[in-house]
Amino acid sequence: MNSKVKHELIYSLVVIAILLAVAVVNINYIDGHKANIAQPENNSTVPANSTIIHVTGYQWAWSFTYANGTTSTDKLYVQAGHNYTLQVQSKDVIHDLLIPSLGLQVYAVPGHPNQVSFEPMKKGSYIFECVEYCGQDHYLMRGYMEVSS
Amino acid sequence: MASNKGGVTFALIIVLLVSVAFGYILTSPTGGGLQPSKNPTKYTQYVNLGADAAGWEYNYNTSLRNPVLNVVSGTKVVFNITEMDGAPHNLYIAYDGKYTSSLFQQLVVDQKSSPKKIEGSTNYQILSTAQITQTIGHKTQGNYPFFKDGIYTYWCSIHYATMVGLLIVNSTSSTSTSFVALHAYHGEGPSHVYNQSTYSTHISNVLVTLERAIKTVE
Amino acid sequence: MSTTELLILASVIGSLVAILVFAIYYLAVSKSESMSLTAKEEGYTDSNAYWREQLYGKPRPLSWSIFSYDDAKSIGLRYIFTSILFLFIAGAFGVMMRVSLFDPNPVIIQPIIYNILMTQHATLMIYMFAIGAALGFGYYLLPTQLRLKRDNMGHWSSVAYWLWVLGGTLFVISRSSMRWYLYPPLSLQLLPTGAGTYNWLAIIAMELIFIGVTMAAVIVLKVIFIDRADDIPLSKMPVFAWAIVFTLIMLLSSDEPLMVGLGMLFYDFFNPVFFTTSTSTPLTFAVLFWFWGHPIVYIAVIPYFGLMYDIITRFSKTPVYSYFSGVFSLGLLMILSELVWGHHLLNSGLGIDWVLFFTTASFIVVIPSALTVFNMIGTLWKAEKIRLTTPMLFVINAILDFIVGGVLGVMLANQSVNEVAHGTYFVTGHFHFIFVGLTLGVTMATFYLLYPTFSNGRVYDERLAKWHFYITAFGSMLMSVSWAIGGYLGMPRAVAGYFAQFQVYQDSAIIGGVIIGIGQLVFLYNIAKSWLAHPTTDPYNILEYRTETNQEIGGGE
Repeated sequence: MNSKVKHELIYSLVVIAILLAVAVVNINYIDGHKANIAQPENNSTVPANSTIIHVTGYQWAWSFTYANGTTSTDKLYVQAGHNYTLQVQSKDVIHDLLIPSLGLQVYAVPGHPNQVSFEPMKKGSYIFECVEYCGQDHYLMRGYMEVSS
Repeated sequence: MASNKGGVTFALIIVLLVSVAFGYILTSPTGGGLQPSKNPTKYTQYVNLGADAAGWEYNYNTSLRNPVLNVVSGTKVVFNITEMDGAPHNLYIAYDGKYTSSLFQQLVVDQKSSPKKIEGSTNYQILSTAQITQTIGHKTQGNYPFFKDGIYTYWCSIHYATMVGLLIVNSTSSTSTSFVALHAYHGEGPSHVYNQSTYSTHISNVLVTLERAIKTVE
Repeated sequence: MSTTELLILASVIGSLVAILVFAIYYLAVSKSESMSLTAKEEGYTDSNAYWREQLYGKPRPLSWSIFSYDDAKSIGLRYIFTSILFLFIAGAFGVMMRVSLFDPNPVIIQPIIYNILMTQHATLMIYMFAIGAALGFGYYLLPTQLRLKRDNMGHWSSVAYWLWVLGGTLFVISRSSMRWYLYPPLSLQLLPTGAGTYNWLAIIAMELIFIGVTMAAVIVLKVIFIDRADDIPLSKMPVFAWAIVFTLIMLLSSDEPLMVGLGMLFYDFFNPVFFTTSTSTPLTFAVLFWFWGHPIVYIAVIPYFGLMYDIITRFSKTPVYSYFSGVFSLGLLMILSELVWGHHLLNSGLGIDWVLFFTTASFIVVIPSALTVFNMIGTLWKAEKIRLTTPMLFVINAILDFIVGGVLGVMLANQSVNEVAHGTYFVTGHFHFIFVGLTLGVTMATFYLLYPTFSNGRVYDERLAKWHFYITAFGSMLMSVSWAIGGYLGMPRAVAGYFAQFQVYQDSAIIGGVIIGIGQLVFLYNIAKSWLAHPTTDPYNILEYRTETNQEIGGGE
């Protein structure tokens, strides 16, 4: 074995070791946060203590319907420390709801409702937006999530 | 091009074709078509509306939402718009011809089953998102001269499901004032959150008012 | 403008266009007449075959005659220069998009026009520039690198080229605003507010581009596998030939799903039965698209890896550090890239098991990429002396940008990061590091190397070329870094306006984008200016005509 092959092997092993470490972290994350990853809507997989909010994306706004039947447009009202499940659907084209501060992202696909759970921790006002291009006013399909204490 | 002009020719071709492609794309049609007429107007009327995702607030009153505006033809209507909630808004009008409001029908009634935003050739943007801004309390002014009789729809293209109302232009009006707010919605609850059933009642009220208005005109 | 004026204007423009078209037709026909007469005198019935034999193995400078001859080198020149033309068109669109974003609200151009620019920029850059330049360098360099035994598919190559150009032109004409993802419910909305009124034309244009590219890919593979000289075994081919082989196999094995998908999409315009019915989901199309859409981004990279290996070995006078692992890792990249398409759809409700599979697979793709980088750095390390000419600077910058862009890419493979950054400018920053730094940079490096051949023995201005490099490298770095940071904070991509809090990242990216644009103008000025000088060098260049030393330097040990 000449020195070239040796160097190459050592390098590959180091790269593979780093990748393995990151992959294990990633697998752990997915395993521990199953409810926080976008998945097809299924009422039996909603966490027990979670409140369901129905989300509808349409060109070009988000509407949120709460458990008590009220609706808000481009504003999401939640309470800190409570668990919520968004059940997201679309009325026209594919949209994608992103709340960057929570690391929460879920596609709104017509005919394929998705759900994702989250728990806001801190009081405040956070942005959310549509990140899947959906036509003329895609950039205005955004708003604020108001977290009350 | 074996001569020494090859590079210059290529550069010129690039510049020429880039300009053609650029001009072609930048002149794409962007809708519109209801360009304001330049004729002098007889009257001027001021309408104060608060831009709120839950509905246009007449005179900035949160309990008077999406009024039906009645205007005598030949009136320049000046819209005083105040940003109420920090969300992006704009103000469009559309004209569907005399005494029909298919657009209103599509916007308000059908939207629950399948929302479609119809931007035909007969709409006009009076105020853009950039003009209204997202600063709460910001005031802007836009105007449009109404000459043709008929029913116009005014709405915000972003929140068209909630922020939509009618503007009826009528040349035979005998009223001394050229502008009447026929109907306003008496809403409940905090802004941005409206009750679904109250909202349906509101729509049917608007439609009843509309029918009555058409009958008066005829 | 009154109707009469409009009619007069239309007829004047129409007449001018007709005169121009006739003049081009007349020139082309008289040229081909005289060519076939010459061929007949020499006893050939097929004039193209005669001229292909005459031009065989000779350097081909750029001239209008590349449209009359259809030997491999003429086709290569057509592809290279057309792709650079489309680079400038799409680049101008990109700079316009940047500039329009200086205010959080769209004040310069309407959102509809912004969306058209965005769609055109992405599609033209990938299909017309990246693929076109890769095919062009393949056609231009391989015949001499592999000392072809025969060159007999010129007609087919010419047809493929014109289909590809027609597709690109129709795509611009369609003014499509569906984004290059073409996701159905939106791409079926034939409205200016949706995908554009003439979006059906864009679907046809895409199909034409695909047909052209597929034909060309088959021909280049045939050239490499069947027509290369008998004394060049596969194991001694330059790395560039291998890179083209892997790229084109990847292209041919993954573009069919989207070609079929586009056909179904076109049918859906008239009778929506495939993607938008109650029993189907548009995600089916998304899967078909990404099955092609992931390999395509590697197609924009792998051939340029091959060119980088070639350029590095030229300027460091050292053989590739490890020829075997270089070729092996490119091949591995080809296979793995077909297995990771799902990471573009991680948040669309694929199901947790698939998320696990695709994120883990995305980590494995890093291994061949890391080996490639190691090989290139190893080659540079072993070199006694490195000549830092402009092409070499571009290549070194490409390695750097690939490392940074690659690391950003691996971060995205983490589901926790993906949930924050997918669909934001973070992704845009990630692939612009690679596309501007590597695809654009290596194209420019190769162009500079081939410039004496293109211009029949003229030399480019070294000082201007260096300025071109420094401006482009700095602009690309500034733009992509601003995007990556802003994107990580949640700045969405593909938007005509944005939350005011992101203005600082957008504005610095605008400065970067404009700087890149200025850099390409320097390049254009350099071509034009240097071509005016008298030829001072011989047109045989070091990338092609080096068959005797080929084995010692480029291929194998």
